[in-house]
Amino acid sequence: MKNQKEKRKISQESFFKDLTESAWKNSGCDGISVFHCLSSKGILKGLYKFSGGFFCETGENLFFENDEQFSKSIFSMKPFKLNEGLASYYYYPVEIKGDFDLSEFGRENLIFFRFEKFSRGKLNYSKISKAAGEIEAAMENFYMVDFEILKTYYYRNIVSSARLGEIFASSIKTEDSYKTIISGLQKHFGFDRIRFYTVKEQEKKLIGAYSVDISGRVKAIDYDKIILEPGAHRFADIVLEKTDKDYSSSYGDKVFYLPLKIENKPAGLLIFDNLLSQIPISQEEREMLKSFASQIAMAVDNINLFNKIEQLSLYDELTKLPLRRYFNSRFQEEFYRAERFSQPLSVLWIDIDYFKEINDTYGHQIGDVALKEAGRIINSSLRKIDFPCRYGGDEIIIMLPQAGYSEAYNLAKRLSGEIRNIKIPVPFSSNKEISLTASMGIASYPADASKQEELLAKADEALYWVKSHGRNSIKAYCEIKNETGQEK
Amino acid sequence: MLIWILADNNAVKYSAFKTLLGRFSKEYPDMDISFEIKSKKTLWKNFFKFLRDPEKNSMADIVEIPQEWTAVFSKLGMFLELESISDEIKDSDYPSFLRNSMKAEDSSRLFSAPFYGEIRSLHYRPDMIKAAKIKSNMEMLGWDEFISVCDSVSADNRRKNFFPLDNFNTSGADAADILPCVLNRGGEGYFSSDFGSCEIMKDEVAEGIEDYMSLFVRKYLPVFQENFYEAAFIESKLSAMAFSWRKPLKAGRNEMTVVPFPNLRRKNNPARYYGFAVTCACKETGEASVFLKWVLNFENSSFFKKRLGVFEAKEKDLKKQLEKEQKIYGDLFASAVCPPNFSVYPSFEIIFSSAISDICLEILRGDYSKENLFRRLALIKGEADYLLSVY
Repeated sequence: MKNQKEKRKISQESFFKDLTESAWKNSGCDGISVFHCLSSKGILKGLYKFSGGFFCETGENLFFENDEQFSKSIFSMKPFKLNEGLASYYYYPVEIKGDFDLSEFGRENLIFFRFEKFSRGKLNYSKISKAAGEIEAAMENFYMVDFEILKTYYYRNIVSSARLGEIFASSIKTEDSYKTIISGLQKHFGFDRIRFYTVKEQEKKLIGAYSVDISGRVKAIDYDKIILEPGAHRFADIVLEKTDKDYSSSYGDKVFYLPLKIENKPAGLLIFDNLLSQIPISQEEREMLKSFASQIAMAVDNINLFNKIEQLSLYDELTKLPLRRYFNSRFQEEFYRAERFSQPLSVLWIDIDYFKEINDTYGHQIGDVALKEAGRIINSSLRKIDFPCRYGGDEIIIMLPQAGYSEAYNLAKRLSGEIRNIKIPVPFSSNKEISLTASMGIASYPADASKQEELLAKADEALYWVKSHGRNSIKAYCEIKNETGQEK
Repeated sequence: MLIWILADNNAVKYSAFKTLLGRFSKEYPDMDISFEIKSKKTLWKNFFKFLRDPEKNSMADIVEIPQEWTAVFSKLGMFLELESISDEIKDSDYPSFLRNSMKAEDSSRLFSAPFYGEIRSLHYRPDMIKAAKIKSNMEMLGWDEFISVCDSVSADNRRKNFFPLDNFNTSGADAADILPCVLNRGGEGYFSSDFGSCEIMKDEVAEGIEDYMSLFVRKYLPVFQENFYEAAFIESKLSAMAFSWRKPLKAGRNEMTVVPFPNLRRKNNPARYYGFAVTCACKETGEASVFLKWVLNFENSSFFKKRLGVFEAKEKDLKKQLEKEQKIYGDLFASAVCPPNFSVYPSFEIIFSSAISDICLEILRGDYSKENLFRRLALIKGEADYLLSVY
């Protein structure tokens, strides 16, 4: 039995190479060309050529529709001679038998072999006839080429189904679940690009999540936001199924849109494209992707659910600020980073003034509004790297990486001003609305403390000082230390 | 080491390349080197197949590419940076119109080394032009005058299968064939100068395309046909003129006169170049370096270019070659322009060529109309702009 390495994979190219090379040697011709008869287009489309000892593809197209004699000869299904210029040709038709839906030949399965003699050379018909007979016999084995295509196709389907199933099921466990899904799809299908959009129902928007290209590079596309209303964008129409147009056949079969639905509600959109390579996305690939749609949608639903639960466990529902547990783990990481890279890190501790009195006088509902507004102001005023947290009750801590005392103080001052601008309407009260103020304490690493707990304690100490000196003010630990003459 | 070279209308290329490798092997007998022929379409497909699944798809160590493919495949990580292969390849060795085609997009890093080039010109048989009593100065033909020449030549030759012009492109026409007509009309190409948008619907571009297609409609140029240039064109007088990219081939060199493409503005003469790139599949980069250095040397490869009727790539070699050629080539190369080398250009060419091929079929069937052409062009523009927005 042949060694695996010695086995030659049958491809269409290798099949025709062997065939034309042998016919070239045996027929005494200058060249042999292979044409595919595309009767729907009226052309003989050149496929391969063996000439001068070399095998290559040919782009030669011969239009026969307007040439009655040529057309007649082609459809007679019999060999025929033709002289063009100084060349003499002998066309030999062969019909490929079998079901060729998967092969490049499709339903148009008539192939012509053209025996060529150039420069007024004469064709040797007895040799050609023998060579043509050999071609005809060899073409009986052409099914093996299709068999190879089928085998590869089914093998790939089975492997892809199994592996993608695993990916979709396990994506919930991975940190970047969306990335895992589209990278998995990319790896198994190999499109030029896959883009993934998720539906944000509350915002009524389709928001870009990630795109992955042919070399596997994943890019966030969260800048791409599309209003999810009929007519707003073709992506919206596809997701909402508000279009009769078959977008899947847009751009010459190079783009395929796969809307994702969960319980009949739109969940997202996957866009597969081969725009760069211009290689059509096959019907088989489309069908396979469609069959994965529900699995992908389910995986997306699981991820969203997981994110929701995570959001609930890590974030305060009222203020939308992270909770203490989340803060503690991030604080630990950032403190370690500050120590390692010798960078400053400040902590700003905020307390809403007279919060207990607000609750007691106007009720918890108004107290909640006060906290919610303070949370909104804080969330919208911070840098991306800052990390706020509702530490408990009305106390809020903001961790400010890479910020020393002066940066922290500037932020505190700005926040204090914005909190003072909050006006909360109070119905059934003579005051009509209440204003908020806040007390704030600042401590910075490494100036005020060398350990995490110590830094928090110093910020708390500074806050206590403000609260015991009239509130509605900002103090840094270094200031109270100087004022009280306290030594570290 | 395996090299993939591009298929050519002229089979001389293959035997010449075989000789070239034979000479190389004589100098480097320890190096195992071979080549395979790939059509432009297959080469393109194979690159993408390999990018998708490098384990299951094979790839050559060195590939011959149209220079304008450099940007897209270097961006996709398909080619190795030439500096890491051989520090002897410098863009300063090449003429300024070629340097951009060697680089990655938005970078000065080199990924391909041009090997040979072609430039668009008009070849004609003086005896046939004279016989048709044409008095126009063939070197200074305006477009309308050129159409009149075609008309007169056509009237003078009533033979079956005679066309005033020969078509080298067996697939009809492509973006590069049509470009001179676009430039004729005052367009600068198919894209805006910053490559930010496709300008195919601009009047100059659309009219340029229509000019070229009208040659098919008027039956001055066969739509699909074999490459007759060597055999039939010269000897059988089946054509009087040809838009050629190369020099007149050996058989008819003495019978042909070369002039500029009709009416072409002298500041832009379309040229196209082909070069070598080392792929990421290449394990023996040392061998690739030796081969590139050897093959890019004028002494080693000039015979190959002579046989093919093409032009040198390196500035000093090209200068040396042009001194020996007809003066016209010096004039043409003084204002040579290559297709733009940016990521989506090759994809655009595929879209464009496929649409043009469909239009060619419409012409053959008598279904052609200007409105149809413009509708197709609008679709191409839409697709090209979408491509630009995504990539």
